[in-house]
Amino acid sequence: MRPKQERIFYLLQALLCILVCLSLAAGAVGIYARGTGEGGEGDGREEIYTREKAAAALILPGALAVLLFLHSLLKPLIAPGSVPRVGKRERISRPPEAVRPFGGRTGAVRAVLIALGAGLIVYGIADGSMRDVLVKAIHICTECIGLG
Amino acid sequence: MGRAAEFLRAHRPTTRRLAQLYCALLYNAHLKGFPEGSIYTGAAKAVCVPGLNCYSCPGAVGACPLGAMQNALASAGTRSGAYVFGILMLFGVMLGRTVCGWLCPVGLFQELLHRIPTPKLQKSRITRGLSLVKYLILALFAVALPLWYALKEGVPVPAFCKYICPAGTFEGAAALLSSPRNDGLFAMLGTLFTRKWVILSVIVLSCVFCWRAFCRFVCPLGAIYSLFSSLAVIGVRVDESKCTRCGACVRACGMDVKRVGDRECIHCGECMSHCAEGAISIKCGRITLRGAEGARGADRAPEKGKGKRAGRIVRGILTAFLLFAVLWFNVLSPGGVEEASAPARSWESSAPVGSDEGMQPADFTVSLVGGGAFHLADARGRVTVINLWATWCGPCVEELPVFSDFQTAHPDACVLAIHSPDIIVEEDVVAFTEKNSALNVLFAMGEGAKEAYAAVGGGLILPQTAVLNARGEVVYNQPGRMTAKQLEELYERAKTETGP
Repeated sequence: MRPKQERIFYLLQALLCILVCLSLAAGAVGIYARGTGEGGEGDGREEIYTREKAAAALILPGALAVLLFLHSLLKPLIAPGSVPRVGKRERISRPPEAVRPFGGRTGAVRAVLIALGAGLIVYGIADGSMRDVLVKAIHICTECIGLG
Repeated sequence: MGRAAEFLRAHRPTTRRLAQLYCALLYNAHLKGFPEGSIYTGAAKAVCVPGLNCYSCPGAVGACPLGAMQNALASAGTRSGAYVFGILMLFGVMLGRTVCGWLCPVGLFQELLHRIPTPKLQKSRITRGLSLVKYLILALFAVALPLWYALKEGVPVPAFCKYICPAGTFEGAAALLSSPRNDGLFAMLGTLFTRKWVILSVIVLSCVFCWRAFCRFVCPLGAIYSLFSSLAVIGVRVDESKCTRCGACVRACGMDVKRVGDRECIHCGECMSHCAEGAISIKCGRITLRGAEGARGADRAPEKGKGKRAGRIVRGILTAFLLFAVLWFNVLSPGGVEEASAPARSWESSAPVGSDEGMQPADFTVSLVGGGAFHLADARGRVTVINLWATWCGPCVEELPVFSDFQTAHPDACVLAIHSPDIIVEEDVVAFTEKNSALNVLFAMGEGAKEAYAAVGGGLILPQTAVLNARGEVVYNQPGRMTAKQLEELYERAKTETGP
């Protein structure tokens, strides 16, 4: 694929990711709207539960979609010709030239992912998913050991 | 003495082997769990270790990242699971598949198995193709199935752990069943256990003949880390200015690599000694952790004084940390979740107080979901079935309809399902009961649940079912799933017998 075609391809991919994000957000808002619409009177629990559920439904796929989106955005930044192609006559056992998939921006990508990972951990601790890990880990998982 | 020293020097373990042994011991530092047949329940288990290590292993002091990821996906719809994904991302970016080569106990086990002298299967295009199977297993068993069951059925199913993972069968089941304290677990053995044992046997045999067969073809955790292969901070790097592209590194590698550092590379560094040009080294960013070996000429720089001293300091710190960890998890740790002591019984009885068959559980009062309370003493005169369960326990959720059907068929009996009191999230239980309002079961949680668990001897294994006869004496009390037929038989027995 020529470099220009590559850029168009990755831009289309980025657009698709944006569309996925928007549809997921619409879905989450829809869940929340339906939940508040069906909420009982005098009991504020339904609203809290539905809001949490909507937020949780959005976070996980949203995070995945953001990752895909970042990946698609960064791909077009590859300098043309930096990914060598192995010629037909070259043996497979010969290692090709070292690939620099991010065109020297590896450090920036790492920093972004490390920050994202740290952010997810902090959010997870606040959200209670760390507590879920603990609850599961301190009980014998009978399924995991083949007994349940 | 000289020959012995020479022998030891020639056969001393490599740094990588020592690192693997270190991690295997650190991840399973709760050594007293093996003779006791119990697992560690401290707060350290909220932290995921980088490698594959079943948290049902009696020695495990941390959570398995793969199991935690599946459980996070299994709670999709109620919780985000962001914590586990953040941890996996950090491990992936910082270490990548260096975890596989240096920090995973299962990798160590496979390499030791491969040392058994037998004919060995060589890598080929077929094995390279088979290395894609682990991505399929990741997508299907570790991601799709837990998500599907969570969203469609509302049942948590960690499918890879349940159907495939050999670490759970070996570290968990074998270690727990080997303790006489867990004799009751033998009653739970069934088809699932047989299947998993067969899978474990096949994997063990494969590893004898094929280097790291589990890592190459099955492990979803390796598949996840391989996604970060081009980004990982720590790993094996090739100096392009020195590399002559002779392919010696690829030929020497036991993994199905096409080049050093690709998705199949576990960054073990074994290729370093095969590179005549000294082009391969292990780096952390731009810092060289381990230089090239076996280089032609004088490229093999001797370890300088400062580097040697730094190495000694690091080794000293790591050793001290490991010793402290063993001391902490076996002696000093305050332990985990509190176990409430059973309160004294409030009614007279001839049977001794206890949770074993023939005994009478101490009286308890527990709050019911939706309001009200259940008093065990008030259930006298009726057959009482007490089920210990949790929303995050797949088998528990799957068997609740059995109890509901039983209650409907026998309105004279009393069926009580008490949610695990350990770090409970009440909204989850309320949401579950509301979603499953058709279940004809009394759901209890919160206040009094700890005492109730203590009264019936509820421990770390769920589900557990206790059946009491009309006098409140235990007729049956075992962990494990119940079938409708078993419940019927126990009901008849409770109605007629007085207990053993």
